[in-house]
This record gives sequence, C-alpha cells and structure tokens, in this order.
Amino acid sequence: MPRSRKRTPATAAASPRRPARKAPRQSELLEAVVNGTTDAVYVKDVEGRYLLFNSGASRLFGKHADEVLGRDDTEVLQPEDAGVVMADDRRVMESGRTMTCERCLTMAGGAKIWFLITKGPVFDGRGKVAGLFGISHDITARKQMEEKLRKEQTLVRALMDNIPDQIYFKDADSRFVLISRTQATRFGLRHVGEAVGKTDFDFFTEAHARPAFETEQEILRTGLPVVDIEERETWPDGSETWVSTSKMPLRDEDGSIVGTFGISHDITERKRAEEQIRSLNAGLERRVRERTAALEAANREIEAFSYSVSHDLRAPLRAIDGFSKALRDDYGAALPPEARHYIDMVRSGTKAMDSLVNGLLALSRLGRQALLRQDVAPADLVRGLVEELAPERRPGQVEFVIGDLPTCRADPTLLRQVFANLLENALKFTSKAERARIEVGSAEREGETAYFVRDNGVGFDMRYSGKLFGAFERLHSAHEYEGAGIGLALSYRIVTHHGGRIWVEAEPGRGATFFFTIGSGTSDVR
Amino acid sequence: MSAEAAEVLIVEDSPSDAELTVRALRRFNLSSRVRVVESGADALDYVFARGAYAGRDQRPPRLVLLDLKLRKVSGLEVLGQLRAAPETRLVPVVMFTSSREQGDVEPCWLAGANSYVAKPVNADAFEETVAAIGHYWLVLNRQPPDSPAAEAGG
Repeated sequence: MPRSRKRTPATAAASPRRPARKAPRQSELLEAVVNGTTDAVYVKDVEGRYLLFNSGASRLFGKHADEVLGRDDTEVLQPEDAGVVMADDRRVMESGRTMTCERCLTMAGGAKIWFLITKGPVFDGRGKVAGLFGISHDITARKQMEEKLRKEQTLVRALMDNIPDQIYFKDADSRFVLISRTQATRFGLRHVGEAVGKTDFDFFTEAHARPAFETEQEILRTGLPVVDIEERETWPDGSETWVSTSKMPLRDEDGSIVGTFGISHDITERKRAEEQIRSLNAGLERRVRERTAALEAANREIEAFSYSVSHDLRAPLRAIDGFSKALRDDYGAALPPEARHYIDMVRSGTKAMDSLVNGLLALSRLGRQALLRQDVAPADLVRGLVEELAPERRPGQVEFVIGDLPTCRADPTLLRQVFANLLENALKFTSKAERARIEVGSAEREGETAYFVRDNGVGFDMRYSGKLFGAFERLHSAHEYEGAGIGLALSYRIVTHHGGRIWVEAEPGRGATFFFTIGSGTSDVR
Repeated sequence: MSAEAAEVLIVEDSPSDAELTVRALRRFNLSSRVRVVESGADALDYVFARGAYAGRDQRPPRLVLLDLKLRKVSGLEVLGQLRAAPETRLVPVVMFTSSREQGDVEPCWLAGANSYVAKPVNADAFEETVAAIGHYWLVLNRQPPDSPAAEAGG
C-alpha cells in the first residue's frame, strides 16, 4: 500500500480540494487510532531509534515525543528496562514475527507499570525489516488484582491444605464443592477434587448423613447458622467419631443463599475422655453405694446385736433381783443383818446393771431413729425437767437459774434427753456441795448459739475431758457418784446427729460447764 | 392339776420369769389356778385341749399372759390363732415381755392384744406390775356374758 507511506493524513482530511470524498483515507484512519488510543503506540527503526511516539506513550512514559524521537531506549527507559526491551526488539526484528509479552517497566517518575506489549516488524518496500512497531497496554490494575487474588488463593489453599479441621463448601443440594485436605483424608480420598459433586451419603452412614443433610437444608431455608453443635459421625466400617461443628449459609455476590459451608473440629478424644470420666464416676458412685450399703448393714448388725443383748441381759437381771427380793421377803426375818445387807448389795448391783442396759438400748435406738426437727423452746423443756428432778434434789440446797434460751430447730424428744442428761449430771456432781447452783443458759460461740449447763460441783481435770463422751467412760468412781456413764455418750450422739457439737470446760473443785450447739437444721433430710 | 381348768395361763419360756409371775399373783391372792407353759405350741395345745392336753376341761382361761419371744411358735402367732378361733377370740390376752421397743408394740395391738406390758427388771416394780394386771383383769374387769370364760368365772 504505497499510500500509506504518505504522512499527512490530517492535512489530507482537511483538504478543501476533495470535499466530495466520503470515505477517509487509510492513513487518516490509522492516525485517528494512533492518536486516539490510550495505549502507547510507537515505531522504532532498525537501530532502535524512535520514529513514532504517540500521545498515549507520552502520557504513560511521562515524556514528550520531542524528547524521544530519534533516540533509542537507552535514553528513554531506565537502563535495566532498556536492556530487556531492546532484546525483545531484536527478537522481533530477527524473527520477523509479531510477539506479545508482559513487561513491568519503571517510568520516569519512578512508577512501575505493567504492560501487555505487542510488537511486530515494519517492512520496507522490498520486504526487508526496516524497524518495528509496538503497542503497550497498561495492565497494572489487572496485574494487581491478579496478585491479590493469587495471594488470597494461597491463603485459602494454606488453610484448606493444612488445618486439621474438616472444612467444606456445599451447594444447595448439599453436594461438596470444596473440602479441606483433612476432610479428604478422612473420606479416604487421594485428592480433594474427588469429593466434588458427592454428598455425605457417599461417605457416612445414614445415621449421620441424614441429620447433617437436614441441618443444611434448614440453613438454606432460614439463613440461620448453627454454631458448635456436637455431631456423631457414623462410618460405614462401624466406627464412630465426634465433631464439634459450625455451619453457615453460603451467599453469592447478590446475597442469595446458594449453599452452605462449615467447619468440623474432631472432639472424639475429648468425648472418649468424658465417657471414661462418666464411667469412672459411675463406678465410683457404685462403689460408694456398695460401701454405704455394707456400712449400713454393719450398723444394723451392731444395732441388732446391742438390741438383743440388752433384751437377753434383762431376763437374768430380773431373776437375780426377783429372787433376792423373794429371799428377803420370805426369809428376811430369819437372816442375820449381814446377810440382809448382802441381799441389798445384790439388788443395788442389778439396779446399776439395768440402768446400763437401758442406756445401751437408748444409744442403739438413736442410730435407728430418724431426726424429726421442729421449732423447740428449750426454756419450756428445761423448766419441765427441773420440776421432774425436784424429788432428787435436796430441798433448799440446789438453786436453779434458767437464763435466756433462744428457740431452735431440733428433735424435741432428743433435745429434752440432752438437757435431762446434763441436768442429772450437774445434780450428781453437786450432791456434795453445800450450796449447789446449777445454771442453764446460752452463749455465742464461733457464730453459733451454744446452750450450756453450768454447775459449781466437783469439776474435773480437763486433761481427761476427751474421755467424757465415750460410752461407759467415767471420770469418777461409781462409789463416789452413781450413774451409768452412758448419759454423756448419749448426749454426744444426739448432738452430733443434729450436726452440732458438745464440749466441756471444767477445773477440779471449781465446777463444770457443758456447752452444746444443735446445728442449723439445714442439712437434715425429712 | 392338768384336769382342772386354769384361770390364768402364763406362756413364758423363762422359768425364773414364770416363777416370779406366779409368786406375785399368789402373794396378792389374785389366783391360785395358774398354768405355766413354756412354748407357743404348748400354749395352743393347752387352749385347744389337744396333744398332751387332750381331754382336759375345755373352758378357756380368764387371762393369758403371753411372752413375745418364744421358741418355734412366737407370741404373735399364738395371739393370731387365739383371735382366729371362735371359742378364744374374746379371751383377754396381755402381752408380757422384756421388749420396750415401739416396733414390737404395734403388731401386738394390730393382732388383737388387750394390753402390752413391759416386764420391769426391778423386783418391786415387777411385783406391782403383775399385781396390777391381775387385779384389773381378774377382779375389776367384766367379760361379756356369752364368753365361756365368764360363765366359768361366774
């Protein structure tokens, strides 16, 4: 096309001599393209010197055509870029073929621009390579986007390939779109891609696949996620695993739900540990029950033993006392005074023994009785007891002082028994005092109300107070003070049965004070 | 003595308790016609005039003092059989036992005992108790006219 070599398209288009021509000339069209495009368009001769440098090139390279025309790239581009570009140019001219490549070049201002470059040879009239043309299209934005996507993909891949959890994306029919490598491994797949299009029904038994499917369909309907639900996965080989799962709706760009995705964390070990703890606990509870039952059986045996012993002991006692009395009644007159005294001694022995047996029975009965707590006014109990004990006290020689006795929740019969034992004790140990004084009252001890019974009797050495509350322990010889020695043991059992404590403060010759608390009453079972 | 109908039947496996009971009744002139049997089985044989007591005067006693803990046939069983038979269902039965356990008292009342009295260990109290029982049931108490015992006593 010889006309194409004419380089005055603008003047030609404006020529008044050819107003009738409707179609513009080819060179005019080319000029319009070259000047109109935002791409860089340029032509170089065989030496690499610029022959054409359009406005797009000026804008992109930041240089005027004047600065460029007649010069080569060593003067136009950065030195390292120039080497690359000139090598490209040589390849084009040597091969005589058009090529396309992507190059990143540093512009005059320092900005780096990615170009999609198409270069081809320019021939002279004889078909010989006379230079080359180039079109460079700025693809920096696309490149950046690609880079960003690539980076994101790397992150997603890293996540999907390495996380030990199962991650999965599914379509609206619960078919896998993408799964993590861990999940592929659990499915027995060599490649994650093998799962695509399959569903849970292909990998699990119905027992897990069905509810999982229904959960996902529910999410698709409602758009509501499920978070941290525990799922039992049942596998075709009969094994079971447990996962903690969160599933969410998967939305497209418009926000419509197109599927689901989720993450499942294996908690099989934890579940097994929990199961183990549960079975251990159950075993422990069973052992506690067994031991308790054994203990209760042993207790019942002891109680049955003391019950029957007490009963069996009564019959011979009755015989001893009965025939001693018969002897005295029927033949007393014929006996010397000493013999009658011996009979009296036998009878007083049986009396003491009877009292012991009764105490033992009361103690065994206490173990078998349920506590019946109710509101009790100890003041009434104590006044009643003082009345009852009147015959035992020497008139005018015992002074009773009843102080403040707040009400409490206790078994009234048993509480009465404690006060009775302590009052009898106090009477016993003041029997030799010239003026006996017995005081019943209450005091605060460690945040609790403690009742006390105080006497001014013989008292005792506190070193032996620990022995006081055991059955049949006595600190005084029977000669000095009569008594079964079981009253305090009984009181101790009653008080501890209520959840309270009992203790004593005393000094030899200076009286004794017995304290006890009765517990809050919150722990008893009714 | 086996031919004569007893006024008081003492069912007691402890010979000493039996003797003390008999002694107390005699001492207060409450009854001299007393029969002591040592087991529940003997008690039933006596009351229903069978076994060793076949052919005895069939009038039932006016009072039975019945111990609770007996060998073979227990006091409670004896009581049940007395109450089941038409001729003995109204005979006064006083349970006279060592046990003071509440758990022993109730079944006796449910089975139709007329009284439940614990045997005191103290000899004075024992004598007084036996005397009180004898005085009440043999002197103060009136039995229904259709009772064979009432006819016998009257």
